[in-house]
Amino acid sequence: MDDIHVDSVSVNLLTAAADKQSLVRSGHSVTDTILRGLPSRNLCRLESSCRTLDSQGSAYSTRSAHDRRHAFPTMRISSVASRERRHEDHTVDIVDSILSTTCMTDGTARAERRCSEAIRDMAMGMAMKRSVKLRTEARIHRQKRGCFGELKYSTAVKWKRFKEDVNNLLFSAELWRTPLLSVTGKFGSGVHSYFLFLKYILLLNIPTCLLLMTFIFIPHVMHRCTALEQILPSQNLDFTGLELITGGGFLSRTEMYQGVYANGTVQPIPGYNYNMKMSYLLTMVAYYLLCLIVIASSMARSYRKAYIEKDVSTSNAFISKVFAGWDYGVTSSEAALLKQKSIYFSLQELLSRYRTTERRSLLKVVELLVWRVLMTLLSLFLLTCSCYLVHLLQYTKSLQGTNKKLLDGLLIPGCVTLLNQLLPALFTFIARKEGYNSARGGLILTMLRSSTLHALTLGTLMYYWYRDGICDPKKNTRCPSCWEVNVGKNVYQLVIFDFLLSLVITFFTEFMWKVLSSVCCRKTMSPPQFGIVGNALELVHSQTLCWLGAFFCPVLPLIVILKLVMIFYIKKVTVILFGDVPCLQLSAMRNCRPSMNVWSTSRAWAHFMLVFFLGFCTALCSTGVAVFMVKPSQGCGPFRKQQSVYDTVNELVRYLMMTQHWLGTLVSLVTAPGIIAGVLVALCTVVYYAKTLASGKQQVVQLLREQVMMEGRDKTFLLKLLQSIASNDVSAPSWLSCSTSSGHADHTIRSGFIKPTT
Amino acid sequence: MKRMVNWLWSTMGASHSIFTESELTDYQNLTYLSKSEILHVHKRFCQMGKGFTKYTKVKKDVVLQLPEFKVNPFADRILQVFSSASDDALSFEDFLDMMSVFSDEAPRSVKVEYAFRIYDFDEDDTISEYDLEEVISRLTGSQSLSNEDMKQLIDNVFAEADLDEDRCLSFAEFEHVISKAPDFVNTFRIRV
Repeated sequence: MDDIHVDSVSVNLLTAAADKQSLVRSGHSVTDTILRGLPSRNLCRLESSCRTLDSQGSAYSTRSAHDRRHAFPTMRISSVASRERRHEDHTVDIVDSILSTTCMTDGTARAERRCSEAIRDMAMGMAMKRSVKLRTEARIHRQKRGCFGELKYSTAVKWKRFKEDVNNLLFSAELWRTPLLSVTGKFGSGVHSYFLFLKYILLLNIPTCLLLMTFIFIPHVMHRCTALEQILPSQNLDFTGLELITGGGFLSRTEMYQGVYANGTVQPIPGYNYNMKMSYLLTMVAYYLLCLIVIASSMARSYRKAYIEKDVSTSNAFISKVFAGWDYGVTSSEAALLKQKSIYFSLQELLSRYRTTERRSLLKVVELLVWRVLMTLLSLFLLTCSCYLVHLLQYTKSLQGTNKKLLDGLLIPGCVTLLNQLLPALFTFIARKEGYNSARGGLILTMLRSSTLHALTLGTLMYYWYRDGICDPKKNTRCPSCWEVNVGKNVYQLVIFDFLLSLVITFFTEFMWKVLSSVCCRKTMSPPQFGIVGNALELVHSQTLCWLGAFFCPVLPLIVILKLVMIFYIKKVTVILFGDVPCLQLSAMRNCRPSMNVWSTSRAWAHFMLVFFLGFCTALCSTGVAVFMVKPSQGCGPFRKQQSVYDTVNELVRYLMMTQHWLGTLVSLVTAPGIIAGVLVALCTVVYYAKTLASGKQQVVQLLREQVMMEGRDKTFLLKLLQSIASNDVSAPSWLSCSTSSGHADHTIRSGFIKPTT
Repeated sequence: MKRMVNWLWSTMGASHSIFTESELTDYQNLTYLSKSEILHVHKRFCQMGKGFTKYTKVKKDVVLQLPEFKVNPFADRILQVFSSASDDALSFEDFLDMMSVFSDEAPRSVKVEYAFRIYDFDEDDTISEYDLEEVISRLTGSQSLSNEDMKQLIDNVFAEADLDEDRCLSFAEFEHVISKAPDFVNTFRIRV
């Protein structure tokens, strides 16, 4: 029964094949001929895409020119087939297939244009295209064209061109493109991701800084210049240069700090009233909201890239490196060499993820677990100790009250920065000792511990700073007159110290290490590696400080921008000068592969973003405490004489209720807890729905993949069968009965395609 | 911006005497280049050697001296694919075709098609293990991967792309996976 069936199929296929003699001669050429004759290797793509064109029919005109082009068939002709068939036959075939689609012969201008675009999109030589075009044009019936459709089409094309031009312009004006390319070329995508992260933070800071400048800083400065008004009682303070580090002195009387701003209306331009208090609060809300939106969206994007798109069993990391890795635009031989190097490194990085790991015995597992618990306890102990240290320092300081000695004032920021610089290195060491299978696990742990350390130390500091706000001057004579300025000053000191210390540490570790390793003990010491995690954490820490202080010191984002630009160049120079350049020359690369061979860029990015987001949350919480719970100073700042900063919102609502009722109702509705809870519940529902949908689709994808695999096996099976018949081996081979009895394949053939239901 | 410069260039100095108007329109319809870009490509073509005109067939070795092709590891394949007569020479139309495919305007589908042909070294219309090995060794240049690494790499590429598990990539499979590589269109272009 089976044999008869197979016979009839093979006879059909054989008659379809061109050269019967050669089929008999050897089995291999049969398979080749049939493979070449398969629809998937010929013009089928043309037919299938035209079918989709037909079905889209009327909706077609509303789509943009860009989509339209992609809906078009690209004529795919097998290069082998085209070599073997006669040129004439081929052209006729193609013309037939273009004209056979109804969408192209309705004779309108659009159809004609589409036709010519279809010819242009064919992947063939110019001579071939020209002859196809001539033949097609001869067979199209020309008709009068409507001018409206023409206009619409040309507008769409022009719009698309404009967009592409803008994109090109943006592409060429990309910030730091060449330095980044050279860094990537030399050190692979890991180090590159650090610099990209730096660039990302910088680009996040620029618009937000502009926001603060335009709505808070500049109006008040203009007001002060025009009104010549002294806001704080003037003390004769000279500029000594130390103010740049301490942020005190005459700086504490400038618009750097919140405490200096007026609380009523100011007049930036004489005659125009500007409500400073309202503007201060609203701009700050906008600032944090903008940051939140940008961070949340890029975190979602990086998460999707790193985890969700990868979850579907096909990832495309290797493909995109192998087939889209080479930049065809490279023209200098140096850049080409760098590119080859960077591709080599990233392929190594990718491969290192697939290295096998050996199994551990039970005893070893227990030992390892105990060891890990001990190490975790140790790091917790370190965390507690550092918190206690900060607490002790602050406590003794608060007992002494405000003293005038400069060094005492700088002791706390110095210690805190030192803790935050040194402990992450210790955590890295601990994580290495914990013996994780993948170095990635250890690195994530280090990142989490270090960011906890940041959050805890800052929290302790914040507690003391805010305590000044709660302090009652009637009971305690040591209360500062304007605690907001103090907070701003402290955060400023931290930012500056962070920068200075990271410079010193960079110099001492990387430069000295380099000198030592190249001069005296070349054998024992490998050249320094660029610690991506540590450096990225530093960036996160500095940005957290920026968010923390921005409410009290609106120019802080500007300072952070300057700091980031300087860090970029310093790090670039240190990486390129003191990095593992000698290593690359030696090519015995055991010790000094660029240090991130465990990271893929997208993964690294996702982790950076996570820590970054945690930092933002820390800063937001502490600012929230300042807004809702702490009483502003009574003598200074835009919120003086209020019980809390949030009272301003109530004031706004009351004011709006009186003037514009609907707006007031809206504001009070938006800030009502019931509404917020409702929105949260709705969001949760949407997330749940999306998750269910995603898992359903994943199942369908899995099914379809299995089906494709089965089809592939069917193909090889049929080809083998055909081959055996062609070589006159009519008796059914042993593997035939075996394979046909496999139920699944049989079932797939009969049931046809599984239709996706979701 | 680029368009404006092109336009200025074409209106100010360039004479159209090399091509008739209908020739130029014809080229414009068959490629993704604007008229001024076509003229620019012609200029580049003629600059490759003394006395070159649009009727010259330029030897491959001469084209390989262009900076765009000098450093490209796939340059010989590109020229092979675009040489319409499959000899060792490139006509002006072939050159124009090439520049059109590598231009910014060319759609992804066309670029994918040509990329497939370029990476198909043995020209059997599939990307086999041999082709992949060749691509990877050309990509990494002087740093050569060890045999194990190469094998692992090829296995991984097939695991990602080879849907029907026949150890070679058909065009459909290639197109499917390359659509998931967002960088492809940005990297597969040459600016003249």
